[in-house]
Amino acid sequence: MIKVVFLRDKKSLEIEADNVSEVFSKLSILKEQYVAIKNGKIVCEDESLSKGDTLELFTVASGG
Amino acid sequence: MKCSRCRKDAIYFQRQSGQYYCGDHFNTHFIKKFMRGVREEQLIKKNEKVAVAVSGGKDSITLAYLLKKLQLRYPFQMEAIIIDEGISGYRNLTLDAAKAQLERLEISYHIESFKDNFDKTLDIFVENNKENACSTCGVLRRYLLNKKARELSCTKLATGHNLDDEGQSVIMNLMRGDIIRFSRGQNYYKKISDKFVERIKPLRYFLEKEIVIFALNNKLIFDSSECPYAVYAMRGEVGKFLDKMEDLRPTTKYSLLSGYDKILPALNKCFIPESIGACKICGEPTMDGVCMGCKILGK
Repeated sequence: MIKVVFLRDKKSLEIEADNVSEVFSKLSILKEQYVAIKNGKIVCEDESLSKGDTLELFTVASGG
Repeated sequence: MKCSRCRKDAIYFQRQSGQYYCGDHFNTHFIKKFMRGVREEQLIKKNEKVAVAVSGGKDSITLAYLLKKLQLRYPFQMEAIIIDEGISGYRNLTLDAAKAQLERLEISYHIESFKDNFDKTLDIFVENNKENACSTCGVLRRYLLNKKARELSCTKLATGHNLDDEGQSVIMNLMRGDIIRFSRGQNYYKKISDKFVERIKPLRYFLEKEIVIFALNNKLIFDSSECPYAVYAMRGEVGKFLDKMEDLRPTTKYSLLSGYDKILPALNKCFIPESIGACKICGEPTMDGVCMGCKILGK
């Protein structure tokens, strides 16, 4: 299982996924709207994921 | 995945070019694009004095950071202007970020507040009409930015508008049927009145997501919260639509803005009068008898 953390909402959940794109599609969110950070490092959408990884999602839109 | 240039771990895949970038090469690419844009568009002249509008969000903080870098290569003066609209639970956070990053960059700044200038915070202005918060805020903020930039004898006012912001504005103006605003472009008022400081938007061809990655990659101090009034704005919905289109058809946002930029001179010619009247109350240029600023301030 991968731990996914939405940084702005401070919400987290666990999910089965082999890569970042799969997380996006399983959660029905768009890659344009989040920067993915795996175990503290910014990663691309095709980055692979393994059991125990933490994937933080940083919301792109901000301000007004 | 690995960087297309050096095989280090990639942090960004640019879909339009098919290139993977590591942190270092992403920085190089981003800074080069910025410098090239400023040079090719001749946005800043030698020894000019530039005001940079800083909110404390990732766009304006990135802009201030890049302009500071540009100053190392090219002589011009710069001062930052921060507007405190008076939005409780939000503006204090972004103000702290703005001050911290500007102090780190050694850029001097001036804070102008709605309270000091108009006797009321934005929260009070819109307490019975939150749906109008963005238009009220936009008109008064632009007024203060222009006034302060003029007082500081700045000849350019740089803002951090990005590709997403610009594309959203194009669609929003069209959807509202606001052909005048759609057709006039950013420096229309400058052309007809010396009271307006020329605006420049050096980040208008940078995707919002790329700016976030740049700000995170360079550990810039910025605030990433969302304005509490954003939920009332049309911009958010239009932004989601454009994100969806970009996801389905990469480069949609670039194509939208570059297409718009190409037709803008023709739109200008067809729909924009060469001169307009002055506001009966404050004398600022306006299409109507009374300008929007005076209407909002109830003058």
